[in-house]
Amino acid sequence: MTTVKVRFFNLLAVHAGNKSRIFEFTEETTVAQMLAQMANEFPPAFRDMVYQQDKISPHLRIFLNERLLYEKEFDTVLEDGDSLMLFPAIAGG
Amino acid sequence: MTFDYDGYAGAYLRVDLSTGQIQKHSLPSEWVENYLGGNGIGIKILWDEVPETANPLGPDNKLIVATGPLCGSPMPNSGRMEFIGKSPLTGIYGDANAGGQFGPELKFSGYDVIIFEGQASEPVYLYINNDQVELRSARDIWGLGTYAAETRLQTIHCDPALKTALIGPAGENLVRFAGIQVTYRRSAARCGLGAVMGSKKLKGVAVRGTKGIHFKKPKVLESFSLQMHKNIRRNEFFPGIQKYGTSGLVALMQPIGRFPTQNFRQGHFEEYEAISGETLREAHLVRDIACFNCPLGCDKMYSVEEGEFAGCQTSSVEYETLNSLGARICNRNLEALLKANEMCDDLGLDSISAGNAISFAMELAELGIWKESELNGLDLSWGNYHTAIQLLHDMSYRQGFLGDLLADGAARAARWLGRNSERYAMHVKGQDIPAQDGRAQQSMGLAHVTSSRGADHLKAFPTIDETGYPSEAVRRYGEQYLPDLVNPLATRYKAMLVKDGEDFGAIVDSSGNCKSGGTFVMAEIYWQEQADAIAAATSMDIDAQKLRQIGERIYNLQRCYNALHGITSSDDVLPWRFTKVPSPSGNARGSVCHLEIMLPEYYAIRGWNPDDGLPTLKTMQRLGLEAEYQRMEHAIACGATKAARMFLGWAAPYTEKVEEIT
Repeated sequence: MTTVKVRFFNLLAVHAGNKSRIFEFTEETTVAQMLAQMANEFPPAFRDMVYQQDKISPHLRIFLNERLLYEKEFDTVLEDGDSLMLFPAIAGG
Repeated sequence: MTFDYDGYAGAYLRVDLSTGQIQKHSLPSEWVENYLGGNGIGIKILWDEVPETANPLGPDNKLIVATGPLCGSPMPNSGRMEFIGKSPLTGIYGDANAGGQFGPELKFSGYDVIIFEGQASEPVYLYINNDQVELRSARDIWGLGTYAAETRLQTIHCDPALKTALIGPAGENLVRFAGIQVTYRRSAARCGLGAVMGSKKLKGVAVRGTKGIHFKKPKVLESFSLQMHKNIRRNEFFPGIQKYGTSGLVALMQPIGRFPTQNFRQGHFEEYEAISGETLREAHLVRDIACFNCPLGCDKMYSVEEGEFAGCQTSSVEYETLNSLGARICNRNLEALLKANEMCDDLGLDSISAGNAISFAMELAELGIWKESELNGLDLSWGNYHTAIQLLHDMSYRQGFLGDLLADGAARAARWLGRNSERYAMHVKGQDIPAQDGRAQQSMGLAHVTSSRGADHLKAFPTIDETGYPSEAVRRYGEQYLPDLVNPLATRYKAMLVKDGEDFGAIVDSSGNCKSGGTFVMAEIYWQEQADAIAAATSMDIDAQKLRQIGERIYNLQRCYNALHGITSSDDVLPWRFTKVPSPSGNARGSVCHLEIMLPEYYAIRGWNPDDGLPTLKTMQRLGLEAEYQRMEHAIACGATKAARMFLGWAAPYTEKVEEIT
């Protein structure tokens, strides 16, 4: 069993209806697969922020164990105890 | 002399506070042709009229209030304006920008620029009601906070729509990081220009304008502006920023490792959720508010209903303040933070510098550098928000040893205090470093040292590599710079990014639109769009290429003005924490800021001398600034710059490695 904690921020938390959620998997799961699962489970507004024209939105920011993931790393296999943080497009200072 | 262009009010005021004389002049065409407006005109006036020998708090300094051609226009976020002067905090070029309603109102009254000079013998304020311009006694409002003073002026003039720019007690008491508060509750906070007003006994400006602005091609401008409004509303960044404003960045900065904590010792705050934008909105939001003609409304009004700080009402609780009076001093009490924000706005303090002064004091206390007798019974333990609130008051009134010392800013306090305290003053050129750790975002480290007003994120405002947004980067710079350009930890191409941001930023700050609303964040407006809007508004013969040259001219002249005060490449340094101590957390873990790679590249791109970091003759000739170059060279050759440097007053940033307390 692989347990992963996902934390949602900004409007993603609003659309997910939660600030965080624990996911459990019995099979090998990648970051991309996990996003797909969430997009199926949560309301359409959540999906609209995560995907753009059926691809993972270039504006979605994903941190795996506090490390910024780039597009080529979205097939990283999640490990037990991993922590994900998801942010929509925000910037500034 | 007549003024040739539409889009401007076409006139400026020169107010001699020593004599009480007020002159109205046509705006010189060469000012707008070469410097556009805002901080461009500001540096031109400063260069021509405020010599390197001028004391920032003396009669020879000037305060320039300047709008630009897009201020008050239909373009989105067109409520921005600038205050410019020699900074009492840094001793060099200073400016501060604010949104709100004041800038457009000034233009509607018929004036683009006001120049204040001299010093009044008694407190005064300038009252403008279209053609009626008068200096009036401010004796009854001197000593009031900005909230009460604004209300009082609106009452005196029976005009609730009166717009004001005011200082609070901090400016009156010459706190070197005093800001200027404009209607409605927006701060032109940085560089201590509120103290310049205080030194001139100028409490503020109250303005009411009912004139229109004539645009050259109103239909073209309206249609173009409408399209920009639509683009901004459709921008991917719009929903999240509209909902939370800059406070939404608090959470994002944690995994990046860019949220300065404990005087920059840490890059993330364990208890950030207590002060995050999400918590702030859930617990304290009253309503969303917006500046002039802003489709975004990133500002919010908040209140505290219960507990020790019940009754607090405050707005513009920005990311920077949530850091400077939150994590930077290890304060997790959000209600205390809101109270501190309310106090900064009312007393007229720059919350960034105020927080930095307090975190500096707290670190010195931890290290045992203070003498017991100097603390006046204050407990300077990390996170003690009661002490922080007391210090905001004490600094504003220069009360007690600590309040008076810290009112000069951490960098000056360190120079006066000695005892190795300069190691813990986190600044560049006397300016306190904002909540943007250059170890976690290389471009930001470079931006701090090349900024013309000392440490600053907003001059270059490099947002596209904050967490890496390839589509924005491709749109502006092309695909060939990926992936390094958007990798916050990469140094490659960051000199280009910072230089372009500074030049474009100089144009935005000279035009009167907003860096957070469409130009840098939600990047819909770039050189071409800005040029199209200015051309439609003004009838100036302007295109993107000419605009680039004006931006470059402004930035180079700011650099040269600083050079008159002895600033060279040796001042383009970060304190040791950013270059010698690897970032302790998040995505930036193990990273330091590599100025040694980026800075030479930056000087080369700018056409600045690699040795002294100053513009070369060739660069200045290209920008039509040969006479300015000659003046700078002469000042260096005759030793005037060395003499001026002696009066800057701050301890240079400490750059050697110091062992951290663990």
